[in-house]
Amino acid sequence: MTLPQVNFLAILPQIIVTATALLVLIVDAVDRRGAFSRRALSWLSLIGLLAAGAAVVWLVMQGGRQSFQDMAVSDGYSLAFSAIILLAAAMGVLLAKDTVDQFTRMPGAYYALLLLAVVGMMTMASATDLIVVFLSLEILSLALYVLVGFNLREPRSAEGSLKYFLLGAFASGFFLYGAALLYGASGSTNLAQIGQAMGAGGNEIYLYAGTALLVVGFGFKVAMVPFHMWTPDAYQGAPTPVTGFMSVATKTAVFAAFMRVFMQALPATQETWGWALAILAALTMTLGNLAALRQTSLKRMLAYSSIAHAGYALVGLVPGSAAGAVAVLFYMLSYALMNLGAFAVLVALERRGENDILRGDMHGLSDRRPGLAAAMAIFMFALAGIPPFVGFFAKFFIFSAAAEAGWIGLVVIGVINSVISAFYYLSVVVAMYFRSEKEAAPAAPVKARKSKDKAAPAPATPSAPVPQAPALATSQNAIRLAVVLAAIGTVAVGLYPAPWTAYITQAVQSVFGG
Amino acid sequence: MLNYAWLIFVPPLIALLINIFLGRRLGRTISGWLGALAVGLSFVVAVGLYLSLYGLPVEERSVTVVLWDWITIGSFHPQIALLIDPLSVLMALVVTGVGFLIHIYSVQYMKEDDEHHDLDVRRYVRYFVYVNFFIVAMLILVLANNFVMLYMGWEGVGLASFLLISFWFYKPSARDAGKKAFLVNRIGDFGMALAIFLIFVSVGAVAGSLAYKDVFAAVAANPALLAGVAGAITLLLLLAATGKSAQIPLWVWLPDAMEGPTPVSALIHAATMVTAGVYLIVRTSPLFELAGNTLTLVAWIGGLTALMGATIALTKTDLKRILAYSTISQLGYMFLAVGSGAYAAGMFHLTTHALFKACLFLGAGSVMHAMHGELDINKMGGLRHKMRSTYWTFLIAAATLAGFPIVTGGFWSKDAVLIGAAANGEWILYVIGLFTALLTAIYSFKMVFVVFWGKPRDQRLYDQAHESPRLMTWPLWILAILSIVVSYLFLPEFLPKVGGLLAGWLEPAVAHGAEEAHITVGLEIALLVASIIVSLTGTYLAYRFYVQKPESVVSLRERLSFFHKLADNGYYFDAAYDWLRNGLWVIARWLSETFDAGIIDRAVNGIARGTGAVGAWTARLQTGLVGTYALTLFVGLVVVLGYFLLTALLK
Repeated sequence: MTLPQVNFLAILPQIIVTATALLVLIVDAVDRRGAFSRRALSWLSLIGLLAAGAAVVWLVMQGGRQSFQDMAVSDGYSLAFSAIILLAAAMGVLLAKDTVDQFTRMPGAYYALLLLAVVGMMTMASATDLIVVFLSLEILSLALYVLVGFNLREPRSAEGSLKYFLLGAFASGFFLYGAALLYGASGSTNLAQIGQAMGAGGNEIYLYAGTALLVVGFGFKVAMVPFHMWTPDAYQGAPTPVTGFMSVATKTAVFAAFMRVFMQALPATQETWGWALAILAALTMTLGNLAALRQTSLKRMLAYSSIAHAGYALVGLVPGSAAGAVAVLFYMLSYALMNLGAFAVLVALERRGENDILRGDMHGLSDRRPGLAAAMAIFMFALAGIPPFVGFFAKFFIFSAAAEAGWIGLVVIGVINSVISAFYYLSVVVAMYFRSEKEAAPAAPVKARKSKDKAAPAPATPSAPVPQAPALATSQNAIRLAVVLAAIGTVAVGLYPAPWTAYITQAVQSVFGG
Repeated sequence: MLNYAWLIFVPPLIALLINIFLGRRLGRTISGWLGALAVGLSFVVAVGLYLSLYGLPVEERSVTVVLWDWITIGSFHPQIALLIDPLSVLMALVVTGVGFLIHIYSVQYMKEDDEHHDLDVRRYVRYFVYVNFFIVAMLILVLANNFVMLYMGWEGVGLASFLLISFWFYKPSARDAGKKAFLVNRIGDFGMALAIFLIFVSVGAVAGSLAYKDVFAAVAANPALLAGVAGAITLLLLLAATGKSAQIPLWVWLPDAMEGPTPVSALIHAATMVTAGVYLIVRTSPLFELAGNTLTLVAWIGGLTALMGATIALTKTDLKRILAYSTISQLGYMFLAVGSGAYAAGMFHLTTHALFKACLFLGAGSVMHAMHGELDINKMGGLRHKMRSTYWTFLIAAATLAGFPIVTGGFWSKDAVLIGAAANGEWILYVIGLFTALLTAIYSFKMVFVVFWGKPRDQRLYDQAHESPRLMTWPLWILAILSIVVSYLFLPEFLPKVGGLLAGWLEPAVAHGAEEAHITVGLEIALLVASIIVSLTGTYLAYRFYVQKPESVVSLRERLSFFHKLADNGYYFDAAYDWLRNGLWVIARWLSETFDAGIIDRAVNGIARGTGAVGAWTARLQTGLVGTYALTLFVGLVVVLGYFLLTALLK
């Protein structure tokens, strides 16, 4: 028996982020009153994330594959996913920097939990053992359950958190049970060893049942229909920076593990899970888009849209090919840019004490805040998959990977879906550019507003001078920076994706070959 | 010169950026001229491209200008690159040339529209931002060297069209029209996207890219690559083309698109964007040549659309709507030509049509301003005395549309189309085309006679009517003169040496239809004579109906009331679509309500609100909502597990 290799370098980014989280907690505890430390906390978190990012870059330049006891690795694949997660986390910090006081009195806890979630996510992306996958799944989930419920003034926040937690507990159970069955079938929890054992033939029933349970477990976390029910409630209830962060980073991390587990450990049953995922992907895309059509709350619309995007990404997983994995990885990068950008715009528009934006609130935005409206238009077109923005290539690669493997029917459904999705994304653009503020939005009933806001004058009074809206977040510089960065990324990566795809292709091929 | 082809995008891009950021401060005049002159500069570049291409030997007249490597995925390697060949340069010339004139016209026209629509300066500037954006997108569409970039331009012009149709967005009709155009075009775009995927899957991997040249070369080297999918690919491309070019069955959006400002109707919905479908088919002609049945379908769609569009145009009394249906009908001619393999004839008609139809629309805009926004031709009359320039240019353009023999470009291009159909052996289509030419002549001169001749029908409007400023009439004159001059560049082959120039010019760019107009000179002259007779007859009939005996129209309409009603209602396409859409909407609503727990949630919310916010969520939890969620999750689990176990057992 060879001794397992302990190599702390392999988990260097995780170590840095964990240390930052602890530091944040300590600073927060030591200086309980200081206005200085409040601001410092966000800077500290950002610096930690940047340092982790630097570590990721350094590891990429080192090349090769570092392994931590065969449990977690740092290879091109995990590092690429980690980079996206860190990007999303940095955006989450930027968005919260000036708004965190609006939803909590514990900024320290907010940043620490966010950083710990990042640790779980990065570990998930680098896990090569089912136990580690499960552990990291729990780390990130526990942090997110709390983050979703962080807005104590908002009943929806607690409600979403509770629903997410209760159902998430179920899903974790299924996942663990599935992992146990696979262990029973193969005698190992290591992905590569499971793959070898199953290639040689093992207990078929255990294998298939285990695969099914893993589909459910992962499916829950990426919001796959019919395991998506928590998503709209959790996304709408959570503080908006959290929603933006989790919609992107969780998906990225879970897809990383989803693909590694299924393509490395379970190629033996590819045909079966390919079909299952194809059907689930079709359902996820279609139902997500149809439900998004009818939303007036933008957060809820983006929640359903994120369900639909999980469906598109699943299409890339269906063929179980390296090309598909490349497509999914690129999709996550694109989705991070465009979706976080959209959420950043929502944060910029949220009034003090409110936690949602209705489509009616967007009326005439192009006149009030032209820059913000233009950025939002870019994100909406990108999400709709209209070239030259990054969302177009993301969908193009996903669909072409599926088409190459012969899943033409699935591609047709996917393309129809992206046609449908254009309607609700475009309705936001129409609201911003083709409706004037004066038009009392008949399309936006007051229903989703909390009763205390009913007196809010915005949609009700048609009188000429537009009533001064409640104060926006005090300083918007950080949010503005986030919007601009996301917009630049959405356009630039769309116009010139070559270096990214080149790196991603190399990263994926180093793990899956092809 | 060719290596600097990208310069063609630069002026409108700079102009639109300046207008976005500084437009409000620049004021109307400067921002408008900025937009217009930028397109003028692009036109200069286009002319430069034409000249440098002309300087090359015929077989080298297809140059790829690589701007940068777009992306690399394995062996797949599309580039951002421009294809400069006769076809793309011809399109670029039309787009920038006609575009330039329409921009100049707009500088004045949109200012005058302030009086009608109370525009503030921001909307004026935004208009020029949108039209400049359109020019850029359209140039991307026609100059792209690969399918992905083509798609990018395709979506871009769709977006611009949508933005400009809904430009007067406070009119609900304009908003609805924009929405409708967008909706119908999405159906076409769906065809486009799928076609590209199919090409990618079947040929892309072998060719290593989606550049036209590589794809066509791979297909030519090994036609088996497309075995089984050639039909599907071309049908999907055809779907895309019918959407953009408003052909049966997706034509319904174009008449409503007239809600946009009139110069937009001239530029986008007559001269350039709507011809993108024709361009698409010509560009992908090597694929269509492999699918003969689709090509026949193209011809039939074109022929029938031409006929139906012309009959509807006859029944309408709204000046812009007549022109819209006329556009649909003329686009049908172009489809008829390319479907018959007469690609050069199709492009010829595209070019002349762009000139005379732009002139007609701009003329209509001029009339519209004179009549304070009135478009009903039954309230006009006698305007030739008041608007001399508008009258003469409208007359020339209408005569060109009517195919007035020998002197007009429209005569020769339409004749080329008909000869193409005849040479292809499609005699039924030839007869349909000839009959449509008769109808075309009637409604063309109907417009002239009713609007400009006779006595004023509404004295009050007539008294206030006035000629438009020079900035608007000059573009009219240039377009009118060009629509005559252009014909002498493209005369048929049997005429002196200048003839057949266009066919020869396009040679390197299009597939060689086996039946490229090989009929005897005798027959060709006979067909020419038939065209002359038909056109003159139509003109005479229009004169008789609308000048000599206006009452005969009424009795004729009564005698043909069934057909009149059918055509006046657009053959009930709109009604059918409404019916279909309502049905789909019901299904979608049912699906989303079943699916979106938030709606159940909301109902419960309403009840719970009374009990106070804190209690609300606990109350809701006890209504079993989480239970429903958990149940769904569990049912999903059972189904997934069942599926996997079943597969395991059946193996």
